[in-house]
Order: sequence, then C-alpha cells, then structure tokens
Amino acid sequence: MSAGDDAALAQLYDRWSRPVFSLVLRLVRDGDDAEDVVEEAFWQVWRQASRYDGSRGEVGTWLLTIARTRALDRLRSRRRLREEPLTPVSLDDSGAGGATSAADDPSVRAEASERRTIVAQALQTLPREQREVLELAYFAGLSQAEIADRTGQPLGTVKTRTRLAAQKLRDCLATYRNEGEGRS
Amino acid sequence: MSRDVSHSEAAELLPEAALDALSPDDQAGVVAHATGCPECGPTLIALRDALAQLAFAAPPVTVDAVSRARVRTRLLARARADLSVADGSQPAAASDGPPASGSPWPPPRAIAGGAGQTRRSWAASPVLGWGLAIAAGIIGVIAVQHRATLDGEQFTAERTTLLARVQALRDSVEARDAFVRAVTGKQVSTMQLTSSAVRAPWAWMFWDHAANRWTLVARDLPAPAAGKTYQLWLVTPHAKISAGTFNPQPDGGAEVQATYPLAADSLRAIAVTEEPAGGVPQPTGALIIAATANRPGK
Repeated sequence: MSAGDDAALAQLYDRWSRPVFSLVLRLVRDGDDAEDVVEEAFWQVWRQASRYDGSRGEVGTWLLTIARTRALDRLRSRRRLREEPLTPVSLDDSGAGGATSAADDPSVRAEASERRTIVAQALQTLPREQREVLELAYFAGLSQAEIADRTGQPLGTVKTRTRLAAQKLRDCLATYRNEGEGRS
Repeated sequence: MSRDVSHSEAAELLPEAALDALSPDDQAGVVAHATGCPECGPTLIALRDALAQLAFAAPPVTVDAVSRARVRTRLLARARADLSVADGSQPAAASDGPPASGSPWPPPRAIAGGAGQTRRSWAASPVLGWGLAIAAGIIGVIAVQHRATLDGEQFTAERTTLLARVQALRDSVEARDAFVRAVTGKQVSTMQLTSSAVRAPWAWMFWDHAANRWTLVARDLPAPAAGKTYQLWLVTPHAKISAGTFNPQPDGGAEVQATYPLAADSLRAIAVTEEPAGGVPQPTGALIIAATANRPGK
C-alpha cells in the first residue's frame, strides 16, 4: 500500500473493517458518524502508509489506534457541542463478545476468537476497579480527571489504577502470546 | 503545543499516554519524549499494542453490511483519485467488486435493511437499474456543465463523489439481486422452520444446490439473551455443521446467507440455537427454531 496500490487498501479494508467499525460504533454510537470516522481512519492509513514501520507493531494495532483516536476526536467534539451522557460498554461481558461478527471470513473469525479469549483471560486477572478505569478510558475516552469525577475516586487513585491496569494487561498479553508461540 | 517532560515523568505517564488519556499538552510532551527515548519508546509501543487489543474484548455490535460497502466504495474512489492526481491521469472508474472471500465456506452474511427493505428492493431492483443509468446520465450532464465552469481540481473532487454514489447504489443493487437469485433459482429447495413459542418465530431456508448457497429468512425471532447470539446449524447424519452466528434486527427479522457444499441427500435438519456470543463448535443452547429437511426439489 505504501507503493500506492489501491488493491492493497481494499484488502486491508476487507480484513479489518469489521473490527474497526465495531470499535468505532461502540465509541461514537451513531451510524453516520461511524462511517465518517472509519473512512477517515483508513484514509489516514492510506496517506501515511509509507511511514508505517512493521517493527513498531502490527498494522491492525496501528489501524485500531488511529480509528479510536479519530472516534474520540469526534466524541469530544460532539460533547463540546452538546452535553452528552456517556454510556461506556462493560468489559465484564468480554468473554462473550468481540469486535467482530460472524460475517468475517473463517481465518479472520478464528483469529478474532483467539484474540478475544486471550484478552478476556488477561482482563480476568485485573481487579474490578482496574478494569473499570480501563473501560472508561478506552471506550468512553475519558481523561483521568473525568474518570475521577465519574467514579468519585481521588485523581491519584485513578492514575495509579490506570497505570497498574495497563501494565498488567501488557504483561499478561505478552505472557499469553509467549505461551501460545511456545505451544505452536 | 507540548511541554517538556522529563524522563522520569514520561515513564510514569506512559500508560495514560497509551490511552490518550492525558491533556493535549502532556500527551504531546510524553509522545515527543518517547519518540527519542530508547526506554520509553518501546514501552509506549508495547502499551499501545496491549491496549489496542481491548477492541476485541468489547461485546459485539451489529455492523451494517451496506454501511461497510458504502465506506469501501468511497474510500477506494478517494484512493483512485489520489493516485490519478499523483500520476496526472484521470481517476479510474470505480469498478471493484465485492470483497473476495476465496473461501469454500464463508460464514453467513447478514443482508442489511431488514425484511421490509429487502422486499421493497426485490421489486425496486429494475427501477434502481434504470435509476443508475439515469444517475450516470446526470453525472455526464453535470460533468459537461461543470467542466466549463469549475477548475480541474474541484471538478475531479465532485466527479469522484458522484462516482462513489453511483458505485454505492450499484453495490446495493447487486447485493439485492444476489439475494433474489439465492431464493428463486431453479435448483432451490425450501424448508420451513417452526417453533412452539408463544410469539412463534418462523423462518424459511432456501438451499441453492447449484451454488451451494444457503439463505435463511426468519421473522419474529426474540432478541437473544445478553451475551448470547443465534447460531445456525446444518444437521447431517454424521455432524452438526455450524453455518455461523447472527443476531436478528430489532423487529425480529433476519436474513442470513452462507455457502457450504453438501450432498443433496445428506441434510437431515436445519436448526437455530441460542449460544454464547461468538458461537460454539457444537450446539449447547436452547433450540429456537428448527426444520426437518425435505428432499431436494420436493
């Protein structure tokens, strides 16, 4: 795609549009906004493909990060225009779902299922209050101060929980990946 | 705007930065530090990578296939226009087909729009075909008018937008036509699935033997319980084959398509069960609706 191959863009879209759409929809909760955000996220990837460095993370992570950032921009812009109640998702349902749907091709579905299982396992290792701050930060795009306000916890406590949760999630996922690679 | 952030401060703020949960100034400061720091840089990447995986942990939401196709069309039209600007040529016609599956067993694909919209589209497809032709004509007229008055860049942008709209309409019509073909072909056999529930859901399964295409049209399905989904099964004497999972529309309607080769005499039943979201290898949940198979052509 970095060579300007639009077929590669189509391939990337077919491979990743479902999880991206799913994440963005969950954040912006509006179909029209989601379409705009998804298009702009893939467009950004297309325009910046030459800057992508595979050694700095997989393309899906890059794409999901861009899409989430774009979605949060849209969400924050909307919040500035009108006070909008926040209804973040609960990660307590993590074992049951996944940012994908049955209409992906089998290999995509299998991969998504595997990721879902691994992330669910990792999340289960976190205390509930740490999962809560992750949920509010990742899916609702709340700042630390907003989370403190929402949960009634001191800002320092929120920061500590966020830090611990993110680090523990990273470590757990790394462990699970290493175990998976060791088995295969 | 970013502020200078020390190494120790940046290291402490990396998790929040990975979540984009800092103030804009702090965020820019931490990222700027991490970009040049051999310790913080890889840590920030690893944290971002881990947190991005949370996208897979969210409960599923239904993604409208038409929305996805629409965005795909717009995106590729923009990319072609971008390429044509880069090489100085006109943008190529937006002629890409639907996403290639290449798989002998693609899972079911929800047909967007629900029952009413689908039925309306059956009758409307020829009209839409003419509509496309007229739209193409209008584009031509607009193109001539605008070519005289607009500068090249604006003309190209408007033309790209219009082409994208035409392509979105064409994709939509093709999807509807494919659905009609799947349920009206000469080699299509049908099975009616029934239930004894109070608000009895019902469904028809259309099996196109020539194309190995399965099309389930269901109505009045109750919403699955939280964390659950419906899973479609093809039951043979030796196996219960998953044909994928789906969730009905709010009005209880669902159209599901799948492709799977099956010998004409091997199907014993069709069933829909309620299973944990994501599906299961073998049915475990409550039977929602089912049918015993007819012999093909009967």
